[in-house]
Amino acid sequence: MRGEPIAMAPGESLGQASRLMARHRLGAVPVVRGSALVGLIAAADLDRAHPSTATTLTFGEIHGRLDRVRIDRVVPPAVTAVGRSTPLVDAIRLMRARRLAALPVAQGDRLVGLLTEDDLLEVLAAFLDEDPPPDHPRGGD
Amino acid sequence: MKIKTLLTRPAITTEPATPLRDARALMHRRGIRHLPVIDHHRLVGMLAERDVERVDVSSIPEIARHDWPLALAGLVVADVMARDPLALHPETPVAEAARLARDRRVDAFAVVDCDEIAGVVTRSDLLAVLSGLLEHRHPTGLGHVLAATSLRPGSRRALGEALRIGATTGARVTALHVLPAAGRMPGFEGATGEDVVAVERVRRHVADEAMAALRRAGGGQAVRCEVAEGPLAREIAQRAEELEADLIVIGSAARRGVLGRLVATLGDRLARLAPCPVLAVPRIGARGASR
Repeated sequence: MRGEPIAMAPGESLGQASRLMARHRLGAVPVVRGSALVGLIAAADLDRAHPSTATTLTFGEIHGRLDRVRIDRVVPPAVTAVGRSTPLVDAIRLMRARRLAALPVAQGDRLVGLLTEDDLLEVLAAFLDEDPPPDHPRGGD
Repeated sequence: MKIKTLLTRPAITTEPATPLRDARALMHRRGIRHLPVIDHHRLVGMLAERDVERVDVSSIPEIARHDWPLALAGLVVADVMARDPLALHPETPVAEAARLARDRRVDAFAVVDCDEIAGVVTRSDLLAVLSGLLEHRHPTGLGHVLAATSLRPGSRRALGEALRIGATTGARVTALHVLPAAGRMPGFEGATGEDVVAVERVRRHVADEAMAALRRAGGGQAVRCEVAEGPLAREIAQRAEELEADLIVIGSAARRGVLGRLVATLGDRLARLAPCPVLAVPRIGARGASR
């Protein structure tokens, strides 16, 4: 997990969310009110809000619109979070089952970190490098 | 470990001229988010659910007002797919695929052997490998211990024992507190209306208390706490199955009296229903049994 996670306020815009995700290479950003975790905005939520390719809006207009829509209009109402001591296997199960690109880490309702798919891929690579296991096949989806 | 070990089924593919809505329906039907696009046996692209969603009419009304849904009806896969997708050979090490997925922000790789599509490896597949490796790390074979508790003192011993087992084996511990099902609350069999609301309030309260008690009993150790309701043995067995528990721990009560017989019955029932061994912790003579 990464401490001091990047987070957004509910009143920030879709445009800001999109730029933040691109800048920090994140698939999802926690949404906080004060320091309390209230949601998670995912790249998929932005994709759904994005104008169609068949739009009459120009490039500039698209960005203008995205900058005027608050993220709380697309953030799902319920947020799934884990604790610092949640076993990694449980976190992975959650991420796969709910198709989440990242999981906020919370203490009570306070956001304390973010566990991303990229973090886990790094763990996997390190795991396999350090200790090559027997070639046991394991299932896909 | 090679990525070929992750290919569990023939690849589900689409073609460049397939209408987009058909490809999308296929993804929904098969519960997948990526389709390799094949033209004359060659991989020419990758269609991701995300790309389809970006093309689709906006979910925000004031943006969607400017979208032109009629134009979308004529779209085919080739209009939306990512061209020249990253293709990996089946012998590629999983570690390398994981690094590539992270560094190049790839959600799904096409796996290609001699120009023939062999399958797809997704981030989700890679995370499943990690999950499997982490679970295989438990040398005792105990990955997960389920402690079934009630608010009676005997069941605190079950949690204590489960935590001790967890601490020495590295197994995860889940504490499950089972409440009687609503209709089975003594004295409320035929309750209706306001009675039910009141009973619900009491049950919520009992559930909250139970959670708090479980958390306290867990001390500083990582223990997940859950509250369920329904027939005791069935709930415990079902949860053990869902959690893929390797061991169930229950507290066995004093041998005399009605209570003793009840708990013996729980052990008997669980032994028949449970997907894994059941450990009953006795009160007398148990080493350091109470916490």
